[in-house]
Amino acid sequence: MTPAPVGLLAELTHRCPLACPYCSNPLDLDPKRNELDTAAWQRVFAEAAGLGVLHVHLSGGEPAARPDLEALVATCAANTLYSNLITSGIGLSPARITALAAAGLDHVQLSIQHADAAPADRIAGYRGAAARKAEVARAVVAAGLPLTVNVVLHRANLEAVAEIAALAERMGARRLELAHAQYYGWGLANRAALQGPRAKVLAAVREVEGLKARYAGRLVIDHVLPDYFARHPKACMGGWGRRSLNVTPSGKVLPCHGAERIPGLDVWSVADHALGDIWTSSPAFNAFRGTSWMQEPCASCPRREVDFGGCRCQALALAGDARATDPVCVYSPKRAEIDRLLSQEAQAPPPYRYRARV
Amino acid sequence: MSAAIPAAARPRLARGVRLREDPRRGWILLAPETVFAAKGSAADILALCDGTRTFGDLVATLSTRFCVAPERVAADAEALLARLRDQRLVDL
Ligand SMILES: C[S@@+](CC[C@H](N)C(=O)[O-])C[C@H]1O[C@@H](n2cnc3c(N)ncnc32)[C@H](O)[C@@H]1O
Ligand code: SF4
Ligand code: SF4
Repeated sequence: MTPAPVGLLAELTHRCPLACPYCSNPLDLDPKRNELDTAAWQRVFAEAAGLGVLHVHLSGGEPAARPDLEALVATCAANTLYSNLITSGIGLSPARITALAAAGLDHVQLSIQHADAAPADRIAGYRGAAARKAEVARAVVAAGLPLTVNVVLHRANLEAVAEIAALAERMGARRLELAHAQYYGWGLANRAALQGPRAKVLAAVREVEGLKARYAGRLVIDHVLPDYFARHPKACMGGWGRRSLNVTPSGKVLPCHGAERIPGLDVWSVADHALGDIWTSSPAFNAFRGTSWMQEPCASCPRREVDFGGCRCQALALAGDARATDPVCVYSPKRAEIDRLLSQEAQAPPPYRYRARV
Repeated sequence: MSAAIPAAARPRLARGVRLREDPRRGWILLAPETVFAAKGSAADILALCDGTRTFGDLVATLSTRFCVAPERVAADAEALLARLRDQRLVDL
């Protein structure tokens, strides 16, 4: 029997006022007219709770672009789901934050781009973003909500991790997530601009490990390590179809946010199927579940239940085959491709291709 | 890092951390990226971490309820709470 999922990532919308070049959203963004309505999301959340989901991550795009965010949070609370708002902060007035807290929101994860306003606004493609985010953090803390600050690390902010940690603490965060950029969606389109030089990436990794110890007991620092420098891939999503579901703005249910790009994957929608049926029976969820789909070297590898062969989207993007071993892996015959990409770092980075607005 | 917990400390679940019973998984502690399985006595200990009761009270209550020596309850509770404090799931 398929074990119950733990988390559901609800991409409420692809609309967003910011234009981060690292954005993991797909290049073909769902327009507003295709978005699920309030009642459809409420049904999804009720079904998710019945299926065993514990955490709902309200994300996007920018979830605050949905005027029904408060109602959706209330539905999560009514179903005893732990609700986590993943937000850029833009569109959250103090009054709205108070209303979200009253509706039962459990936690806020606020993303920032840099410790200094000028580079932060340049990365976000939005003047005044950093100042607005500082106000949002104040209002979140004032409303009594726990705050995590999230920063995607890349070439333009790798050297600012100490300042970022200090800022997160001043903002009142209990937790700081420092995630080296993963190359999906717009992030993949901007890979050459985002990838930092090897020496600087490794220096940042060491520095963050030091910061973890320095902030112990005050600020928990979660460090998501850079993929391309590892010997083995991460267990993407904790394994395909093992822990999480991802619902797109238009209601497609994916095993991870990048999966829509995989050709031939038969993705079911909440418009046509119950969430539980999708989890257990949709071809997309079963395509790479477990280990029986694997080719060599994964199929006979002792790590196959540890990392499940890594990320299918990365295999597709870099090895040209979603069934291949994640090319990050040292056992992959395509590992040389990663090293070739890393060796291009010496060249001057191209300008950002900012994420589109819908 | 697990320094002894003073008897007068009033442990409580940190903001945004919820203890609930799940029909499939038993007692669990939920935080944004964490599901902590509160196995055995852990759920009983955590249920008393409400910020009003002292650690000393907590130990005495559980020691009476389960007829276990207070030293044993204190050792279990100290190990659990020190670990959860380091993860910022519990405030002391
Ligand atoms: C796509 S965003 C949507 C929510 C909201 N707009 C925000 O940016 O906070 C969801 C989360 O993924 C992070 N993120 C976006 N692109 C990423 C990438 N390429 N690698 C790692 N994390 C990324 C963001 O920082 C944010 O915490
Ligand atoms: S552009 Fe930035 S703020 Fe907007 S959804 Fe993407 S990561 Fe979030
Ligand atoms: S060969 Fe496959 S299973 Fe083995 S470590 Fe590499 S990616 Fe993981």
